[in-house]
Amino acid sequence: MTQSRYQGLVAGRRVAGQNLIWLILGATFLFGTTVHGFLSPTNLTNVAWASVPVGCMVLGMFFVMLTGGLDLSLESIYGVAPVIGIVLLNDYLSFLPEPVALVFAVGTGIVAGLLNGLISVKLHVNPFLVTLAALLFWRGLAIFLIPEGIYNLPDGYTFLGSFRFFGFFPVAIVLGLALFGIAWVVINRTAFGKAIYAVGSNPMAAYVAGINVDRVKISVFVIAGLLAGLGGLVEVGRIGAVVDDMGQNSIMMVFAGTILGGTSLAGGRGRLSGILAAILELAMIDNVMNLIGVEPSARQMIFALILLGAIYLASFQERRETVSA
Amino acid sequence: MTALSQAVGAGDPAPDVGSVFSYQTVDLTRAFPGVLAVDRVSISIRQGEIHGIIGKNGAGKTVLMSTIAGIYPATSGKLQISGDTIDLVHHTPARARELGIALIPQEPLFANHLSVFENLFMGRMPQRRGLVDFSAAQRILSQISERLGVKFDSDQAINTLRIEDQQMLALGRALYLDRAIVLLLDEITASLPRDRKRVLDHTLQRAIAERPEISITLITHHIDEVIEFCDRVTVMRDGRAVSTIDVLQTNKETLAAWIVGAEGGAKPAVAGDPAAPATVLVAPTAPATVPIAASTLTPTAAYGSGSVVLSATSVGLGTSLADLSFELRRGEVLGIAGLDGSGKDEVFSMLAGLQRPDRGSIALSGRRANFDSPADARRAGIAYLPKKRDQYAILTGRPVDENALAMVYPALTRFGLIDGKRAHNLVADGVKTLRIKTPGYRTAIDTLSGGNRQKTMILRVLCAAPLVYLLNEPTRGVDIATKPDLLREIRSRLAEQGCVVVTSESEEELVEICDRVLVLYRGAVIGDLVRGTPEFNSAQLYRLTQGVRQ
Repeated sequence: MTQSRYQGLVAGRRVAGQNLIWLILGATFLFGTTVHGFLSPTNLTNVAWASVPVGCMVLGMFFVMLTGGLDLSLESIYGVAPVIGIVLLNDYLSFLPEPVALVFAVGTGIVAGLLNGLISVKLHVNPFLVTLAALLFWRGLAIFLIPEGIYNLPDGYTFLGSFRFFGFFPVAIVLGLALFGIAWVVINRTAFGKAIYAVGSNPMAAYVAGINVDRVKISVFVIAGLLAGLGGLVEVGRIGAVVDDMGQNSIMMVFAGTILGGTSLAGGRGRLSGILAAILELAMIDNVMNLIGVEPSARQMIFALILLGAIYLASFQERRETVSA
Repeated sequence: MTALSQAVGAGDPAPDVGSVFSYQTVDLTRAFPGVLAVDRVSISIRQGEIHGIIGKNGAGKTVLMSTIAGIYPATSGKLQISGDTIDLVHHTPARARELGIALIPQEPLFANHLSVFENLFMGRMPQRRGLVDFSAAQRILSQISERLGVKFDSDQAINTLRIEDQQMLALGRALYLDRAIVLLLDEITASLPRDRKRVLDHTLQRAIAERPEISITLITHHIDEVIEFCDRVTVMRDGRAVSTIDVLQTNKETLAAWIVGAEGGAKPAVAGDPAAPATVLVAPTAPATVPIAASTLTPTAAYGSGSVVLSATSVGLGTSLADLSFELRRGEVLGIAGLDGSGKDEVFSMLAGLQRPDRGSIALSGRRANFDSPADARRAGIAYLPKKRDQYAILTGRPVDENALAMVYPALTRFGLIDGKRAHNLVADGVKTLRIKTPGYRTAIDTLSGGNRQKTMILRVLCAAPLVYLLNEPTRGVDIATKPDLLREIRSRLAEQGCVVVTSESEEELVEICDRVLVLYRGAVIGDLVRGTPEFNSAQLYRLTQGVRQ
């Protein structure tokens, strides 16, 4: 009797421990219900919608961080990919159908990610430095190409971010969930996913076990680039314009989301469910502050404090795992 | 009879008339649960001598030294040093340091990311008027560098130095900074190249010439090193000091006979050897002779009849391995025996794809197999179990199942996805067969005991179902109760599924499971023992690893 109660307690604590970020999200939601307008379907839809573009970057960072790497350039790839797509379509290849430009944009993300991967892995340059250079370069290219911004976008280029099913439910949310589903399968059900964890946990052991460590490390940069490009397209559709500073300074938020979701900076540890909750949490905090009417100039400070608290709480997650596992 | 008791140091300390002892142990005993690691050892080490301690793995050498250095308390026993008698039950490392005892372990404990300077002078910075005396420190550093032949920059992080250099630094610190009088060196000679061994020998001789009051105790596995370095040697077997011998009065054959004891068989190596004292013929403390069943077994039915799976032709690597050739057939277990530095590890790293041979060729199922990477080797059908498991095998923080399946996920993939059911069954079966104790398959491997982590790694190669199992010390760190299971598993299941290349620190284990053992000595094959022949026994195997031919 006592024994089973004790085990129940331990199991309960473990479930709570592994899902702390979901508890934090739940608490934020409960607090939100006290705010007028928060619970309206339109508002909740908007929260989810707004979380998709940055969410794509967080998902990409999650892959890279699992292998023990990091990618500072994601916000610039996010910014430059839609720029390349639209510039190619407008200036050089206007005879092509509009949605082809989406392929160019995503392709840009893939190429940028591949370069990050190849340079850091094959030339043995620290990924921090490689992606720092890429951060500057890709942002610079965006500024160089469209210093004025482009505000007349063809519908075929914006539908990922703007189209709504039944005039209400944004396709972006469906896209976001689909990406999560695919990521879940890749991470949990494929040999590649297992190799990602192995490389992050002990690269030397992964190498000895016959895993192509270099290929895994390069692949996650490519995935991250692709996701950043997609995220950029969603954001472009949402705001209806391509501007050169889109996503600027968002990389810290991407880090915050990835770490808040329980991903270890050292690699080898992290779960997708945590990432989903963390992305929603970031969007919800922003939304609640908006609704309460927090002075825009004060928001960043409040956000920082909330974030610190949330990351502190989420850090129990890792400690708990080591204790209870 | 007097000569006998003098040669045999067990029980009563050998009287040491005419020379001053540096330290002396009296009935030192250290018990671990279920095993007497050190059993009533009384040895007396003279001032100014280099004293060897030799014996097989598990003979108790390292435990003996650690106890003297205060790292483990003894179960009972005393230490006499500098006119004091210390009760070793209440000994501590701090007390040992006060007494001038310095232990240089196989893997020196340094703060990895700190510089050489910071590490060496940690807690003992030379000072003058309250400030660090850099010129004094510099003097000591250059002394260490010169005399021990270590090249380093004092600002260099210590983990950028090779392990043998770190050992030399630890020795240098003990000699010139701490000015220890009792130096205990645990196998620091094993990884040194020959020219550096000479430097070390010279340095030790010089240190003794400068300060005749010191003594040096040297643990080694190599009889050659005893002959090269030592004045006297104590042979340990099964926790007991069975003999203390003057090195000038002995030879390799005699020492090998002492080390293996009665299992050496009816004809001790020393018979008819004029150099050996007659008393050495019988080892009085040897356990009753037990016939070694394995050595009388005939080879497995499959032996020599299967098709050739793996073959090496004149394979060589730098100066560490010359001209290795063998053929391994399906169903066979091939042992590779040899001491550290014999070229044994190179054989494994070449077969595993970690190093490419410089000369010769390896073929797997008739195809050239000079691998470029472990991934190459894996694809070709080799599954490698490395020796240093925590460094090269364990996926830290990952669950048991992922650790077990790390090599086979690509093979378990159907239509791009892992077949979850097959994966689960593979792990479930393996955990049951190998009796791995784990709360669940998704439990992080770090929380398992050393033996169970080890077994999970064995499960990894087992799951891979390769053509060739490449097992580097598969029983290392496995508890005694599990070892027989593991050995049986290798001999029955693995050999049936493919073939096995294996090495072990224990000659007995090799004799138990191998069909054939190649013995390497200084990079060359010195012996080729085949099961069913009279030479196929652990004593002969041991003698060959030491370079003793008959």
